[in-house]
Amino acid sequence: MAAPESGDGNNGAARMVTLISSDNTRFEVEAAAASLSQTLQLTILDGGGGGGDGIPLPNVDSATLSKVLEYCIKHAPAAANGGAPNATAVDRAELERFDNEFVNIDQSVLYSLIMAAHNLEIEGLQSLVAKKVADMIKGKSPMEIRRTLGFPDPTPEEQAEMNAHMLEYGWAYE
Amino acid sequence: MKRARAACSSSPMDGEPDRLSALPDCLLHTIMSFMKARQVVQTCVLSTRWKHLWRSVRCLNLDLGEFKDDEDSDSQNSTYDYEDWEHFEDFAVNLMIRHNIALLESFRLQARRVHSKDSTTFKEFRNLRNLTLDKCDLSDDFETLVLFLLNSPNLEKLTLRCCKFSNDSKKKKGTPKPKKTSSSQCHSLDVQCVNLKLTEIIYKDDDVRQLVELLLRISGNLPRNHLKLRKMD
Repeated sequence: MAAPESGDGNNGAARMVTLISSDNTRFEVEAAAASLSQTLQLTILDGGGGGGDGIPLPNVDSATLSKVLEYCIKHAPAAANGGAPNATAVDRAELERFDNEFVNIDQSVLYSLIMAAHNLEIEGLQSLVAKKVADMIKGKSPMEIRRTLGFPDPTPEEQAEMNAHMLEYGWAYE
Repeated sequence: MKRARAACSSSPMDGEPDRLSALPDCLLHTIMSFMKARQVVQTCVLSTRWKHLWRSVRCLNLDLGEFKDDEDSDSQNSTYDYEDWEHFEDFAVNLMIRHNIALLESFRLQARRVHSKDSTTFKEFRNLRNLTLDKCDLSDDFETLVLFLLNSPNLEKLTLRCCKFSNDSKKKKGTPKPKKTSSSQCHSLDVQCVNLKLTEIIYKDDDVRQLVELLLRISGNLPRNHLKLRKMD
């Protein structure tokens, strides 16, 4: 199917698409930004999401989707340059600053984000969040990790199992 | 853009012990791929959910630096004592035995010495696509390197970063190497990495001639390989 003319008379303007979150909020966003999602890109190339119909995203709530789109909008220009080989150092530094700040958020939001990035196939976002979670784990003992990441307290049986396991894995604890 | 701040962002898996553990395996593996091997293995005691996850990570980064005792010293000009080495070696051997190596897609090794005279400790890296040897001593006449190649039939990218290639890098000029036929030279002819597309050698002052010669000699077995040499400042 050839690229359809969207009947909104948006000549010259960037093509827009509408995304609908699981709680029925409609988000209008540039097609280029939404196309950072491999999943959406196919639909958009097929002419979906324009005009009155939106693309429903039953797995993503509006709070998460708004965050996802914030990432996509920021990263779309660089992605359009094919990974931005000719981006200036300033641009790259700015993106890095944005990324660092972007993942400086509540853990529960991080987990919703990584699930959404996974479902929508936005690789850069998935890696960004994964790296952030890995950084929260790095250099911590198992008990510290459990506390930091909100694991429930182990039951006595679990604790016993963990201790036995720790002995078995002495080679990883020196 | 319309923004409705919906109050609920209910997790799809209520009742699970914690949000992190509720993520699917593939995402936990992605998170683990940003950690170094020792910490990855240590997650096995977090809970029953995590007990075996590490065995199937697709990506391992094995770094001697993780085994250094004093944490406050600078890792750049690091010295490793014998004890660090023993821990590292012990860990590496256990890791290779217990990890499901056939699933490994990407492996990065950062170690001063790699000795694997005993080729039986090597398992086949059946799915390994990416291999990086960082600051590794390959001056065993590339025997270790050849062992890696022999055991990684599906390798696509090989990166050798700041590795040591020869023992006498000081007097590299005008001292012709004694030509001997080592076992690695014989075995190298058995290397079959038909999918290898890129070999990137990032070196400092070391002499890369021998390595390049080796790669050229077996280039018939690496039909798609491109060689990229980059000297570090």
